[in-house]
Amino acid sequence: MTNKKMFVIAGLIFILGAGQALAQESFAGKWWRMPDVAVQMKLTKQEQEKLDELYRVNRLNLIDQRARMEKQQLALEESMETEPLNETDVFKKFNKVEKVRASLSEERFRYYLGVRKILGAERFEQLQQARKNFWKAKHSRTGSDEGTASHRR
Amino acid sequence: MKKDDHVTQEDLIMAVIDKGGLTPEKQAHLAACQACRSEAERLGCDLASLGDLAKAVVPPMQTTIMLPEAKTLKPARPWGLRLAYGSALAAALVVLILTMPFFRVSPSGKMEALYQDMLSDARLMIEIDRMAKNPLPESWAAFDDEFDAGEDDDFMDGIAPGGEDFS
Repeated sequence: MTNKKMFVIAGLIFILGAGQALAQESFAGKWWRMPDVAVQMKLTKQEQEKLDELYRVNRLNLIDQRARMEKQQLALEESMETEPLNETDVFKKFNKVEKVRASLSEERFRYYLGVRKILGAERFEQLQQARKNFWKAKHSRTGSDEGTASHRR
Repeated sequence: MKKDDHVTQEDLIMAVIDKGGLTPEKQAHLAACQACRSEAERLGCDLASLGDLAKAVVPPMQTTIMLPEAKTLKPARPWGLRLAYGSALAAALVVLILTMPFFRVSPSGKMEALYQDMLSDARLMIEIDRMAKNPLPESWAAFDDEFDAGEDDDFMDGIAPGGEDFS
């Protein structure tokens, strides 16, 4: 039942146009709250609560960073549309966008690191393996090889 | 009662307050005896002046004395109405008890909410991944897509000969 549901979610994510979110660094949702996963990973209540807190703080920061990024993107777009074009200003805006991108990427990685710290090396590897297996199963069901364009991106 | 025997002080007070309270003999003596009649009249005058003196000495009343308002008793609800209210209350309680399980979050409902959250979070992470990969505005992403198409083997085969073509 859980697996079936997971495939439905994965399918919906593919329909949305990108399958890479679950396949790469990002872990979507509170997977540790799924009873089967919690048992298989031998997660304690305390660890689940730590993961809850990590998730909460990380997602709040990511949402803030996303908003910052959207503002900087808008500023860059406006600068690009200005006539006559001010190349210095465009690069200034572009550098700001890049700066936000770096902090966004760092925040995303901080979550990944937080999960690793809570789970420990062995269970973190177990989680990675479970994810690989999930994608293998997914691709074998859809008849495509591992490493299709959507996964490779 | 002899003519020389005058009435007592108590009889004189009684004569002022209520003459009828005296015996007929004493009443007859009062009517006949000038001394006793004068004494009774003087006592009456003293009592009257004492009343006037008391009125003058006592300060006037400051507050107005009002009688409490008579409570109007509401008529009791008729029995039919009481029964209707009671039945409605009982029915509401029964409905509440019967529908209670629907208000509780069932385990399957909890899982459904968890999956919905996962899906919603996946959307956010897709967007974050896209931004982390390519920070340029989304409206410019079309350029990237075109560039990706250029990497496609079939696309390249269509516009340029590959290594296999030379073999």
